[in-house]
Amino acid sequence: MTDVLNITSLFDKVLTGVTCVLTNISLKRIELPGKRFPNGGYRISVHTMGNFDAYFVCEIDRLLYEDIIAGMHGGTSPRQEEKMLYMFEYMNIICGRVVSIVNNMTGNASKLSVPVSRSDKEDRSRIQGKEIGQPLYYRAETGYMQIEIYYTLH
Amino acid sequence: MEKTTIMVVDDSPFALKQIRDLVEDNGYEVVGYAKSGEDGIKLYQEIHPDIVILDIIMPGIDGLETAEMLMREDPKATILMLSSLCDTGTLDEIRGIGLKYLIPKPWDDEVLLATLELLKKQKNETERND
Repeated sequence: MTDVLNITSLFDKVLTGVTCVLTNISLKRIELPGKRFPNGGYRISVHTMGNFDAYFVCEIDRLLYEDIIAGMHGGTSPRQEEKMLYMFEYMNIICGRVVSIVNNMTGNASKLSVPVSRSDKEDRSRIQGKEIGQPLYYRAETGYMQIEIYYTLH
Repeated sequence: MEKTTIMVVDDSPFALKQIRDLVEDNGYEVVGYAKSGEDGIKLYQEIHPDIVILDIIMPGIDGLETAEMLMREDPKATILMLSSLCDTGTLDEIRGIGLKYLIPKPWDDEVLLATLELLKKQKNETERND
């Protein structure tokens, strides 16, 4: 099933498409970049529950994070305390779209968690035992984004 | 003419802003906002909006459980579900609890407005028949 359903490719299509719709930002997929987060960055993760047991991790450059949020907020920045909530919704929409497509293709009904901002150490237990998809790297005008996908499809 | 009132239950301020910016230009008024199902249930009891726009994925109780509790409280509650999860299984779950419509995120503005209009008409007809 995982050969037919290319999770990485699916995520790539959804991410670039939804980013464009929500923010007008064009994410360009690249090979492994050199110095990725010169301005510091954020790490947001989402997991699924069900037959599609997945863990999505987004690491994003601080300036690109600000741009994505401003793009979602009509060109200006929302209040500081709301910014991460905008990023959570961004991840929710993208991962929800991916999981919906997987659910429709497999006939199963996996659910999605609320996104969280977590450290690398906190993620470790969620990653164990899962297949590792090819990491995705993107560049936009103001910075980089990296997506890691860990999953098992039962 | 009195505006149709809407309560939004969604943990995302982005969703609230998008909904408010759209509906308030089209004859509706957002009269309440809650970030969780638990708060949404309490707020509903206070303000009794005409329509509730309700997200599914939220911290605490999810939107489906929230909708069930709202409908137990008020069988005439008019609820429109919103979600990033928009597969047939999720739609079946929504229909299983007696609701009809699910708007996927990100939504098409015209689809959201048309669905709200439909719900408004259905609500008006139900109230006329009572």
